[in-house]
Amino acid sequence: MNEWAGGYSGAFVSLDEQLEREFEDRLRESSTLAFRIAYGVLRNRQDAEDVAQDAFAKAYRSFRQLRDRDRFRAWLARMTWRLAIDRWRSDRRRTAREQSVETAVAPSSEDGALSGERSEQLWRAIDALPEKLRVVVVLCAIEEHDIRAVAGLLALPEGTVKSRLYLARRGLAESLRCLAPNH
Amino acid sequence: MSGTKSLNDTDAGVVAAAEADLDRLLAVEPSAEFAAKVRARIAAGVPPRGWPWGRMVLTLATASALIIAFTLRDGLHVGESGGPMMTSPQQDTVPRSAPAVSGPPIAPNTTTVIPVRRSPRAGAPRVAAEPEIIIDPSFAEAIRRLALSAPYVSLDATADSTSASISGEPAALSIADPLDVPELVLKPADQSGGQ
Repeated sequence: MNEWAGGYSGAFVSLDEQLEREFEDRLRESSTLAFRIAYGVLRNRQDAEDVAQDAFAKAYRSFRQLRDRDRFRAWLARMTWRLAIDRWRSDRRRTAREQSVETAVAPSSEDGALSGERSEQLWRAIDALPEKLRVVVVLCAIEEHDIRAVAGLLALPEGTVKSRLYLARRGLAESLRCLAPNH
Repeated sequence: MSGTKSLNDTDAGVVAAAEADLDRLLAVEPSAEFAAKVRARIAAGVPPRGWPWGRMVLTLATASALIIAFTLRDGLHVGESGGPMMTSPQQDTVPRSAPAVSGPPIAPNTTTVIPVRRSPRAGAPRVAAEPEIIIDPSFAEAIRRLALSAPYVSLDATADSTSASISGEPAALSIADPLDVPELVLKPADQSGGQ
């Protein structure tokens, strides 16, 4: 804790000890959420970690207004998504190249369970979705298809999330039928 | 999977398989150093990648260099010892004919002056090349109203003589030609009454 607090004596104004403890709790419990959201967009571990760390750094600056757990998670999820989308748009070509290299050279254990072609088709179908539908699909996968949780993260009514999820599934079905007729 | 109820069986199967794949693909964990990297990033204040800090630093450096260059040029000059020294306030122009003496000021229109560049005191406002003319705003407004109300009145003669006397140049005297006015002749009115 002391080491954690000592590191703050730089560009940022130090939070008091209670706030630092709360922030560390949020960091511990939400790092996977932020990383998975970024990974769902970027599909690259390094880029995803970089974006998630950026989101946490921004959250730290505004942590006095984000002490509530649910509010923090929602804010972090939206911030991570936005940062990841920005990164994905600006580095689309580079990200695609690194993804192909990473998949070919060192496939992760998760990717190992799926064939590269199949996962690539799936990602392509998700990328083809409008952004509003895409974030719902990714968050549903992360939050184990808990509509209420996704609605909380996106600050949307549950009905809106359900309708967007339905549209996203329909779009996914169409894309995957086109991409892989024998899927 | 409640949303798949409206899809047909084939599509529902495809979507269910896709979502299962997506669940597996997104079941990733950040590295063990993730929290430490976040702490380091906060401590160092590292901006997000792609932030144009390089351009900002370059712009700030250029602006600083320009400010320093102007400041040095205006306020400092190198002394004999080689180091910069502050200069005392100097007069921008000195008379050529009369050396600087402590006496009554010499009228500017009677002495030929040559400009001599002096380094003004650092921080002092730069003296403009042209003399500053301060006019009372009420006078300026009155002159403007006069000019607008009588646009066809020529004030050239007055202006020329005034400016000539101010500038010290002799005014060119002009002799007006005698007017050629025909002599008036009285005639008796005709019967028609002059019409």
